[in-house]
This record gives sequence, C-alpha cells and structure tokens, in this order.
Amino acid sequence: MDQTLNSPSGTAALNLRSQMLFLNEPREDPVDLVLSTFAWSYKFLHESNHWARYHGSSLGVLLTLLRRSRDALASYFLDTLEASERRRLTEQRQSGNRLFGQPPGAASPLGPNGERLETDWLALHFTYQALLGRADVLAPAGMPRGGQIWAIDRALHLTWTNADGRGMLGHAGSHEPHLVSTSADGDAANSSLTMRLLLECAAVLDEIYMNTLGSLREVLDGDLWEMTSHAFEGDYGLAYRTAEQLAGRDLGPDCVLALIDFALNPVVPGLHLGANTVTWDEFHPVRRFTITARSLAHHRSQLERSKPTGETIRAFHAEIEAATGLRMGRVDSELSSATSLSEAAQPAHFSEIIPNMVLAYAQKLHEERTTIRCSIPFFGSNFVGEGALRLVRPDSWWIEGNWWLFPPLRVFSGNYGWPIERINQDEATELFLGAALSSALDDIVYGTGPLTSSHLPGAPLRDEAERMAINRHLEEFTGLPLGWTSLHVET
Amino acid sequence: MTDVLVLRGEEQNVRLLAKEIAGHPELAAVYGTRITTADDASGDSLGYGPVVELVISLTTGVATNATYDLLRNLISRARDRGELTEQQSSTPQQDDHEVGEETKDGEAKQ
Repeated sequence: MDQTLNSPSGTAALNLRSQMLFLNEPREDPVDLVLSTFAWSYKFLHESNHWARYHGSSLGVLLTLLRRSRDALASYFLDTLEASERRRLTEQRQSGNRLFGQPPGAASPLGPNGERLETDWLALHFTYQALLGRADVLAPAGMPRGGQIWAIDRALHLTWTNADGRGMLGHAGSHEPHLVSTSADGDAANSSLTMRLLLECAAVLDEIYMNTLGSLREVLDGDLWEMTSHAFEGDYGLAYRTAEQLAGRDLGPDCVLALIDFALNPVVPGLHLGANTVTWDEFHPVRRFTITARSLAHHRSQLERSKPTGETIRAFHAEIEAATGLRMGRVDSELSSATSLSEAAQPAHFSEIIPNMVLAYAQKLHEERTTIRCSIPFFGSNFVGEGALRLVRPDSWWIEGNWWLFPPLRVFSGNYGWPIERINQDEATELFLGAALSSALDDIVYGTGPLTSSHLPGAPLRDEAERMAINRHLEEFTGLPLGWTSLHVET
Repeated sequence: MTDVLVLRGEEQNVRLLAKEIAGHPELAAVYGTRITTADDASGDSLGYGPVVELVISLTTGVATNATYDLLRNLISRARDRGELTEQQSSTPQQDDHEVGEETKDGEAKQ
C-alpha cells in the first residue's frame, strides 16, 4: 500500500477516493499578487474541470456506481462475520495476508460465503481499475480474456442490481448486461493513455482556452503561458499528440476536446436505455479515443472550422458515430432526486453518503449536458466572455446556480472545508465520515498494515480526540478493531 | 545554506523554475538543477500537474550571498505560481536550520 509517511506535496488535486479537492489557499504574502491570484484560479478551474467532466460523463457515473457496489459488498461481508471470524481475520490481516485477493495457491481465510463475496468484490474492483487504466491493462494483447470478460459482465450485473431504480434504470425485463470482446485495437493497446490522462489533457486544453480567448491574453503573465506549455509537453499532452498522430494531421484543441468528451461517454448498460450489450472497443475510453481519432484521417468536421456550438458538437458526435459504429452514451435514468447538497448529505449507510452527494451533482451535470451542450465538453468556454462573471465568486455559486460545476468538499493545509452556507456542521461531518469510512473498506479487505490517509485531510486525524471519535465510528461500521493511528497520518 | 536544495512541486512550475535558473548567467555558473519524478499520487488523484522534485546543487563557481539571494528570489516567485515544499536532501552535509521536514522514510539523516 502507499507510503503514508511522505510529506504532503501540497499540490492541487481532486482525489477520487474521497471526492475531496486538495487545494491550499493562495499565498498570503505573494511577491506578485496578480500572478499568485491567476495561478490559484487556474488550479481551481483545472480541478473543477475534472469534477464536471468526470461526474458529467456516463463513465464517471458508472465508476461511482461500481465503487458504491464494491463498498456495499465489502461492508456486507464484514456484517456477516461472527465474532470468532472477526478475530481470526483481523489477526490474518495484521500478519500481512490480505483478506480478498490472496495470490493463487494461498490458503483462503474465508468460508464459502466469504469466497463468493470475494469473487464479486474482485470483479467490481477489477472493472473499476480496468476502465480508469490503460487499454492493455487487461491482457498483454490488449484483449480482455475470458475470465476478465466474465468479471466485467459480473460487475455490470452486480452494479445494475445494486442501482436498480437508485441511479440506474429498472432492471426487470431487461437483458443481462454483456460485454462482447472485439478485435484488438493495436493503437489503443500500445498506448500508455488512460482515462486519467484524457481528463488531464482536457483540463490543460481548457487552460489554453482561457489563455488565448478573451481579454485575459492581453495581461496574462508569461509564466502561466509557460507553465501550460510545460504541462502540455509532458503526459498531460499525450492524448492530443496521439490523436493528431492517428489522424495524420492537425486537429486543433476543439476537436480533441470533443473526442475526449466522446471517449468519456460510452453507452453503459443500466444508464443508456436499450443498450445491454457493449463491445470492449466501445466501452473502454482509450479505445474509443484512438478509434475515433483515426476516423478523422478521412474527414474534416464543421467543428474544426468554427467556434463550437451546441449544434456543431451534436453534428460531430453524429459524424463520429457514422464513421466508427461507436455510440455516444447517455444517462437516461434519474441519478438523484436531491436538489441541493444539503438534501444529499443526509444520514445514510456510510457506503452511500458520498455516492448520494456525487450523484446529486451528476444529475445536475447531465441535465446541463442537454440544456447547454458546450458547457461540459468545452468547460473552459464557461470562463471566457461576460458569461463568466456569474462564476466569479466561488463562495456564492449557488446564488446564481451552477453550483454543480464545482467540487464542494475541500482540503486546504490539511484542514477539512465545506460550503458553510449550503450545509451545516452536522451534514459536513456526515460527508466527512462517509468519505473516510467508505474509502477505508478497500484498505481493510484488500490491503494490509495501517489504514492509508493521504486521500483525507490530515488535521482531523492528527487531533487525538477527533481521531478517536472517527475510529469509534469506523469500528462500529466494520466490526473490526481497526483504526487510523497517529503514527501513520500524513504530517 | 545547504549545498543541495530539493523542492517538490507541480511539474510545470518546477520546469519553469529550472529554466529560469539555467537562463540566469550568474546562477547557472553556480547551481546545477536536476528534475526527478516524485509522483506517488497513483490513480487516486486528478492533479494539476505531475509531482516532481527539483534538485538544486552547487556545481562550480563561487556561491555568494548575492547568488543565494537571486536564487531565493526566483524560488519565491515560483511559490506564487504554486506550492513548493522543501525536502530534506539525502546528502551527508546538512545545515541544521535548513532541515524542515522529515525524509521519505521518516528518519532525519545526518
């Protein structure tokens, strides 16, 4: 597991385990106030971009639901244990043998029921990782093997069953979800691209959007331009370079942003009405990206010739669908009935609290996808022109609406922060516990040694009284005498 | 000051700082820079930039108060652009007042 003694880097990040935005306050005594302010804003927008694209995509919703199912299953497994088994498994874990996913041949510490739950948990975990990771993560040849296809089918089935009417469409009467393996796509298989790098590339392209359009370009500090260029030359620009290479020509940022948007939105069984069977080419974001980029070798889209509009992006998707046979996915189900963060932050099973919050945001983001088509694919365009004024005060987004474009939970200098006008302290505590306890489940069933903490604010875990209180909740939740120790909390 | 300074931060900021040091004739004569990968964020995070370390070391030339101040000014401006945490270097010669943080394995090395 990861090292928890590392000094915190202090760098900005949206953590997918806790769904918290790690971003310190701007420097108190900057040498150059303008540079410091803009640099901070760029980071904030870069990370908000991730939030909107991830939760505003069909793949992001699927990943949230896969994770919710996985956590519910781990929690159910722990609930089924008797006292003697709890003791035995705790000892087993402490002696360095993880509970789930022991190497082949090792004696399984679980009974038959536990083994069945373990298989399902591993299928959910594998599918989550496979979608976030490289297209060849499954097998050297880039093709899912029989066992892996079974695991993905199983994960899709479990997720749909878990989310039936609670994020996904009704399952009754539908065919079982099924993944069909298709011919290996060599370009995707050999690429080190991942879903994460697609998201990072989009965020950097949106910075360029801000740099080049609008009046900011007149006053923008050269440093910020250079930083964007440096980011783009590295891994964060890989998707762009790959797309142009496959297309064999220049594509331009709008076109690559539209390709990334298409890649992040496959048809997902349970979300997209009538789509129960998908191919791996159609399902994996990197495969979608490489296949569609290659199709642009043969035709130019209207999108490349004019400023993106709702109509040009819709036409672009239709052209790509016709050229590749891949479909643009939709979310046809109701993800959440909550209309505010406060409604979503109500007490629930600890494996459900963060998904409830995230799905309330996703619901709004997917509505935005249909009402303002450019808003998510070209997120940077929201911050260019007069329309951007509505988004200028991060503390009052909800007054003008649009709160769903920004991550609500924040960690700054190790402290936990939340929008105080929108939720009270009890609700914020509920969200904190939901994030901490649900993400501890992976460590408990799939890790050994101390619980990790780098995805959480350090301050509450360093405070002895708070840490003890959090640990009491965790022990009650898991039934195991495990908790965060002060020694392993990031300083 | 130490003869080796290690700063951890986002790649785009660190690369720009390294370029600024290299582009400054007096500093370039005294300090060498090296960038190493330090990204331990794994797949859990979507970060502003990959986290890297910049190792700034004395090479040749005469380090003076003036070169030190120039270097500190550049670092200070880089801090406007993003977080830079000073890491303890693993070289044997250390000045106590520069030791601000624990090393990766948690042991202060002397």
